[in-house]
Amino acid sequence: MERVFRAAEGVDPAAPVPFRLSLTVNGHAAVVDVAADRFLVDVLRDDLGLVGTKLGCEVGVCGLCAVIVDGELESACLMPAVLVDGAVIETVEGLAGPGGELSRVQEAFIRHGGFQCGICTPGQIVTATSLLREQPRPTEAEMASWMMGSLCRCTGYEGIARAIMAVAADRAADPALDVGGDVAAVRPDA
Amino acid sequence: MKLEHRIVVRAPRGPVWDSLMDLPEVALCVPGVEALTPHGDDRYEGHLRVGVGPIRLNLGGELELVSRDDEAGRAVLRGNGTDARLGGGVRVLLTLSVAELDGGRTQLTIESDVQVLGRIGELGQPIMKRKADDLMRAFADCLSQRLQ
Amino acid sequence: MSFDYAEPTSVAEAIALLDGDEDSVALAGGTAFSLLYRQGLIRPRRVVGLRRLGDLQGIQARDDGLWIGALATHRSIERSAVVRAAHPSLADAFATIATVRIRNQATVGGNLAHADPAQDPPVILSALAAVVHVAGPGGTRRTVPVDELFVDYLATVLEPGELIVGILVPPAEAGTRSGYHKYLPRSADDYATVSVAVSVRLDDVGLVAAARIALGGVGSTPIRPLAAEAALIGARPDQPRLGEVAAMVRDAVDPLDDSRGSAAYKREMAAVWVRRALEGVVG
Repeated sequence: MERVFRAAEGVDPAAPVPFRLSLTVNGHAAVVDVAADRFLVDVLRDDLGLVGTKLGCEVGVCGLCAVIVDGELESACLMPAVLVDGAVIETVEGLAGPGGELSRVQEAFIRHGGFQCGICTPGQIVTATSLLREQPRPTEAEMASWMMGSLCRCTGYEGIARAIMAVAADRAADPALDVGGDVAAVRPDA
Repeated sequence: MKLEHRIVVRAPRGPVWDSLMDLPEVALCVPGVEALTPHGDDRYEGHLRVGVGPIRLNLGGELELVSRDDEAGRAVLRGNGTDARLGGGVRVLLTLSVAELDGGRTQLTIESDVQVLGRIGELGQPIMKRKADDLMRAFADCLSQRLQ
Repeated sequence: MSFDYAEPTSVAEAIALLDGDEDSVALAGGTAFSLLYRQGLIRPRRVVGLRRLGDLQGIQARDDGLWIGALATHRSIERSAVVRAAHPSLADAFATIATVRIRNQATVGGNLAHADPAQDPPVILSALAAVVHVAGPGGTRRTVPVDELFVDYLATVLEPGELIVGILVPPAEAGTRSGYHKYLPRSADDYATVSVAVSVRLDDVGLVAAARIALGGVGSTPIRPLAAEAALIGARPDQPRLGEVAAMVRDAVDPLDDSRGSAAYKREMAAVWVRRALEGVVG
């Protein structure tokens, strides 16, 4: 058996016991000692200072905490830290270019009025980015199906939908278009 | 949650009532109760293990005989227990009453008012009500067998 | 308060670590675990992470049917060409689960072990007569038909220390048609208010030769209305007969009053949707 992590003898059972979590986050290696019962959303926000990923419903329904783990869209609030040890994580903070250039999806959200208060926006953008990687030219129906469960209380969704379909249309015209934060561009620090 | 269960026992009222008032014995009819031990005047200490799938409560607490009227055949009990690990608790007010029926039979009515406290209380009223109902029905069935 | 965490590399190791202890929990995708843990409803002493059990992740067409490993995610089942070829209704049913985020993370084994009666997989798997393969201490294995797996809300027949390793869906006899219907009056990513899966085969003269019906959201476990099924077998599935069958379903279900609807409403919807589901496979 390779990995057993045991609470040490004589340690106060009520005190959290550190679990060494190794992650690649937005291309950077991160190693952090956390209690085994932590969740990814809290590790990102509290231990790594990446507060772009938001807490909303905390039961995986609202989409505010959407992140990309090993290329797949997940809810960070329902992701035990122990399950992402060794994983490649992408958050909203990783979508812009190295010089701070906004990704296509981020630009489109601005251009097409995809946000008002902004609380759901990181989740919307991460989710839309993930959609466009997996389905480069989604139909409106495919987009709506993917984006279902990314809730917005302000915009009524029209601006969000326009933004995403605009990037999809740009993609149709230029298949090599980088929608932002592509996995290929994310490499762990040497 | 307010629940009511009624059973008819094939035994006269007197003996049924006497058996019923032996609380440590009668408590063993509640699924998940290990023992009820006297702990002062009309007070008892005990443990109840109850759960819904992986959600398991290990309730330690007290049962108090609040009032007892042998003539009317009515008693009120108040119980409360907490789970140290999950930080939840249960409070219950139980009213037991017996009424004589013809043919040497007795009707036993169990009214319970159950409150679930803490995070456990957020599990969902419908599920907890069904669970409490299952528990009280099992209690009633067991009593019925013991008291015949 | 935290827990011991271990990641075994074999099923036997996983079972040894679970050690038949009801305070140990097996962790698959982690969605149900996270919900229960974050709401303070469970506090296990030990968590056994299954993610290194690569053997349990596959989906294969075998001679005896479609094998789905316990750790296959809902998304992989939804998208699997092997699943779609064997049972299109199965792929369709998995596509209705929650959101893409949940489907990427949650596994079919974890779903079955969680045993929430509003979940989608048990209902379609029951209609398709799927069998669950379970590993236990000392290398033991046993099989449990899906409709015998559930005993109560969030409770299965699994003993502490047992692990679901996979599900075998038998091949459908030629001419069998199946369908899954999820009635969602609230949001599209919700659990079903009522769900129905049916699998029906007609004989050469249009009478029902075989039928299975399963319902979700209408009891503390998924329900198979056996009397209603029996009323279909050997009959011509015309409107009067379907009406009778739907009426019998009302008596077979035992829904809870909750935020998705009253017990009476769900009972009515069970009848309505069984009828629609059957019309969809006999027409």
